Order: sequence, then structure tokens, then C-alpha cells
Amino acid sequence: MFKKELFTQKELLSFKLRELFSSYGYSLYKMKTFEPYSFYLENMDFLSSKNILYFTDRDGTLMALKPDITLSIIKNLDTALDKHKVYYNETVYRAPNSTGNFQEILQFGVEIIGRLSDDDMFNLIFLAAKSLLIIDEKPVLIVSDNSLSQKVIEKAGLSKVNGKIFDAFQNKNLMLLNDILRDNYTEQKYIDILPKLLSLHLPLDKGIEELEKILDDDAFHKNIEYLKGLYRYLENNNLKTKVFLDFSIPEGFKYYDGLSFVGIIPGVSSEILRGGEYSNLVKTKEKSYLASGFAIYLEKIEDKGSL
Amino acid sequence: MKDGLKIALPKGRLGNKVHNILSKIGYGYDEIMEESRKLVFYDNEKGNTYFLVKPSDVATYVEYGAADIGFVGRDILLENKSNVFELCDLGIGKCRICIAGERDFPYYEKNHLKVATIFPNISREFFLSSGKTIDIIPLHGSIEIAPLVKLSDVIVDIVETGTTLKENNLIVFEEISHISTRYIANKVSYTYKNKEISKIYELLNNERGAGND
Repeated sequence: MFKKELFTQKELLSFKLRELFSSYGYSLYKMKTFEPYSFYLENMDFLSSKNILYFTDRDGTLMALKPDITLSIIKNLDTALDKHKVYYNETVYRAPNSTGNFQEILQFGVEIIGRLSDDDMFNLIFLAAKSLLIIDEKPVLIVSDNSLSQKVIEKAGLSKVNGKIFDAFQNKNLMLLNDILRDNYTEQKYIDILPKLLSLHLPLDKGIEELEKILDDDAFHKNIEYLKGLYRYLENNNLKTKVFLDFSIPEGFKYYDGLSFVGIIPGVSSEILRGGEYSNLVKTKEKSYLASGFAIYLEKIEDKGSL
Repeated sequence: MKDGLKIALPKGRLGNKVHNILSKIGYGYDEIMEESRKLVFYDNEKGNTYFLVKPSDVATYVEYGAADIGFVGRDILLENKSNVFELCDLGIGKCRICIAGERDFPYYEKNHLKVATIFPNISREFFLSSGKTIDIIPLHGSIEIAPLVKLSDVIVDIVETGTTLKENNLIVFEEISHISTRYIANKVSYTYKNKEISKIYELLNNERGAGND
């Protein structure tokens, strides 16, 4: 007989989330404990922490103790399949930049990789929002479009200071952005657009309306239509989670090349869920593939305070 | 108890200046200015809680969510790489982070330097981009003494008027960054308490526009 009191809150949440992912056709992925270190070295940009535990195996191969799950899933993809829908519940070993010491971290997440439709991509974001509702009653999902902000920066001719603009966006630092725009030449219309994009923080529907006013150039039409498609999908599926549009992309999101998102709940001081589209990374494996995924940080629930 | 904003204020001279501005925009709380050892103040009327903390700790309280908003020098944000929203410049506490040393020290000819500082991260990042290699000598105060007693070649420190440097026969070789006090917010609070946080942002901007500089 199932006795609820025998389990921790984290374990109970983990059961509920596994049930949710299975009901949407995702199957459990089990990872090998050790994988060649060279693979992680080649994809270092993808890892949030660059510190990996590694050792020399008896045959001389340098092996890593699992630092990340997504990279392992990509490495072991069967390209004969059209669609891979997996979830995982694994421990990884990293030294987060904040503490410096290696830690065992429970990583819980979902990935969809393959020849995917827009609806497949939207469904994953829907699933992220549904997962948040299992964790808390008042979650918020914050969505950003990295490909759109990159396009604006490129069209403004500011690619050479991309990193600095990224820093300004990340912290909604209008002063830093204005300094960059003062020191680097760009057209007046981008001097108007970029600060508005940095300050944007609105519910998804209102945010898209605002975006249409800010970006009236045809070059951005496709991105805006994609966001509208997402909004329609979430509405049609009767999503109860609040969704906001905001371009202050968190640190470690540089590899997301489409929509990216974070999930927050009251009382936890940083995001409890993060994810996004990372199709460029899987194109090295199979050109026609697209990819999206998210991870949930259940250990942060224990930090829940009184925010 | 109302669920208002939790506000981290720096103790000391900067805190007094910040509180003066907050009073002008309707967010002051007079008890804070009274002489006492009290560090936490609750405003019953508005429901806001104020913490008085060490200036260098303000960003930490905000980043980890103990406070929703705070007021902090940009030097602290740069040194700690604080993960907070940096919303606006209050235009007070203006100064510069500079590299200084003895007048006759051949700074521009040296490829390797001994640097005494309270800002090891800012120093490392700056010299890495400038191509000079450095040894950091971490200090916690009276940095100006270091080159005089040959503890270091140069210092990386805050320069407000330049008087202390002058009196110790030191000169500025290079400027790293301009500093002033910033209004910051926790990234989760920014969504859940957006109305209040944005209201303060608007009021602070209006106050600066009205000539608070």
C-alpha cells in the first residue's frame, strides 16, 4: 500500500512529474555513469558549469562522471527515428560557480528531439507550464525569444558587442545598454528599439502586441508569428499558468537559439525551471532535427522562504 | 502584517542619502534615521520592511531573496557579479574605480604588476583584457599605504575627489569604471511584486529628472 508519509516532498513531486511526462508520451532515459570526457570538452559552451569530474580509465581513455544529461541524450540519439521524447531523473556532478565545490545535483528534465512541428515545440512549453502547476499554485513561466534578440542585434550592426548587450539584457541594465549604444554606431531606430526590448515585461498576449509596435520591420514577422502561435496553443489547451514575455535572458542561456524560458514560484529566489530550443546543437547530429527541453531544480523547493 | 516590499538599505553615510531620496518619493520611514542599534524596521502603514545592512552585503540580500529591492554601489555589483536586475542610477555616491601608484612608478612599461586592492575580481578582469599579468594582494582598507611601503606596485581602489591620493603622493594611471548608487531588484520579486517595484522605478526617475543630481 502507498503510504504518502514515507516519502519526502521532493520524492512525491518527482512521482507526480513522472506521471505527467508519461501521460504525454515521454519515456524514461537512463544514462551511463561514465562517458568519454572528449565529448563534453567539444560541447563545453552548452554546460552551465565548466568543472567536470574526470579520470583515466584502465584503457587510457579520459572519462567524465556525468556532468549533464541533455548532451548524453544527444550523443546517443538514434537518427533513424523521427521523434525522441524522453524524460530523465538523474544525479549529475558539477561544481557550481557560486560555491566552487563539487556537488551531487538531482536533475529532472524533459527533451524532445527530431523532425518536429511547431505544435511539438509548443507542447513542450505547455508541459513545462503544467509541471510548474504541480509544484506550486501560483507559478509564472517567463518566455524569451533569443533568435529575435540576436536578429535585432545583427540588424543593428552590433554583433561585435553582442556579449556586452547580453550582459545588459540579463540584468535589465538600461544604463549599460545606453553606454554601449553611445560608444558604438547604430541607426537611430535601433537606439529606440533595444531599450524597449530590454524593459519589456508583460503577459504573453500584451507582450506580443507591444512587440508588434516596437518591431514593425518584416524581418521580425516570422518570430512574432511564432510567438502568436505559442500563445494560441496555450490558450486552446486551457493553460492555467501565467506566462510572461521578457527578454532578460538568464545567464547560461547563450546556446538556446529559439524560444527560451524560465519558471518561477513565490518564495524561491531564483528560477526553479529553465529550458529552451537548442536546434543548432542537434543539427550536428542530423540536419533536419529540431530540439527543445527543460530541467526542473527540485532541490530549490527546500529553499522556499517568504519572498 | 501586509505583504509589502522588503527593502535592503546600506548602513552609514550612503544609507542616509538613499533614505533622503526615498523620503522624497514617499518611501521613507523616519525611525530608520534615529540613533539606535535597530536593524529591521516595519512600516505598519505601507507594509514595507526595511533592513539596514553592510553596504557590500546589500546585493547578496537581494540576490538570495531576503530582500525584494535594495540600493547598492555599482562597484559591489561589478565585484560580486550579482545576479540581480540593475534598474536605475540614483545619481548619488558618484566616484571612480582607478589604478593608482607612486608618481615615479613606470606603470606603462611594466608587463607584470603587484596589485593591492579590495576588488580582486574587477582587477583580474581589467588586467586580463589589458594584457598585463598581475599578482593580487587582497586588502580590506587603507589601500593607499600599499605602494608607499612597497607592498604593491599599484592599487585598484575607489577615488572620489582624489584628495587622499594627492596627500599620499599617488597619481591615477588608469580609470577602470565610473561608479554610482543603483536601484536593484530580485529577479523573482520583479515579477511577483512588479507593480510596486516599477512604481518606485518611475518615482526615482522622476526625482532625478527634477534635479536630484
